[in-house]
Amino acid sequence: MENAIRRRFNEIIEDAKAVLEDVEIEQDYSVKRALLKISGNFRNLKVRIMEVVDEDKRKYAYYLINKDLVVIGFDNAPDIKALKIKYGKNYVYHIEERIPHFHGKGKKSTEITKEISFKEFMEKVKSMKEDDFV
Amino acid sequence: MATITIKKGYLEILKTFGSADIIVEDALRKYLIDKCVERIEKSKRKIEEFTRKYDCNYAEFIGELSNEEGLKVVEKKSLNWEEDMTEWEYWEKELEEWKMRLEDVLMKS
Repeated sequence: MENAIRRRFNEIIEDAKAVLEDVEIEQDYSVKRALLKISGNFRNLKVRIMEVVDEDKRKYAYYLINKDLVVIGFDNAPDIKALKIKYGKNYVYHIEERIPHFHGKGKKSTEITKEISFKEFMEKVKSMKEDDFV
Repeated sequence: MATITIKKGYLEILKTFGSADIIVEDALRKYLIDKCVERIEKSKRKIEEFTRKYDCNYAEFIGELSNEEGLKVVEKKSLNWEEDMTEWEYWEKELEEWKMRLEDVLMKS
């Protein structure tokens, strides 16, 4: 398992180095799980990447940040905003369920999504116009 | 029991100190204890960073995230708390598992 995770993380690192500047990388590999954290600059914005493989479960958070403002964010945390969209009042029965979702500017909007990859996240970022960043 | 191959030269030297099997077993045990302690300390350091940032422990943090009011409080401290949550959970699990591994190694001595 570990070699496959290392290969996947190395691919993400290479992709990040190709599109971001001032890339900083932190990795940890343990018995049952592994973690990858990347931060870097895209134009004048900060990109933050978190990828964890925990006993075959994938956990991720990809964020584009302008100073103190989230421009966009994709993650699969058990966020109650996303859980309420999917389950309505019954969200309380799914409080620990990881759910792939998207946050719009300032986190003022939340949408359910499919699981996305770092490449898909960067495609979305690259397709955005300068006006979308502020 | 598993078989491990070691260099012949090492084996010759080990034999001068006594039973190679016992010495290797003892050296491995010491190595594993060091590694377990290293991981426990790393996990504690990482957890401490989050405890300080959010001024609560992991269970309290998760509790905050389960209701709207708590979520607002967390989002004031960090807009992308999802990253912290994922990493915090990672180190909490690591801490527990490495403590158990250390206990296991110590019990087997």
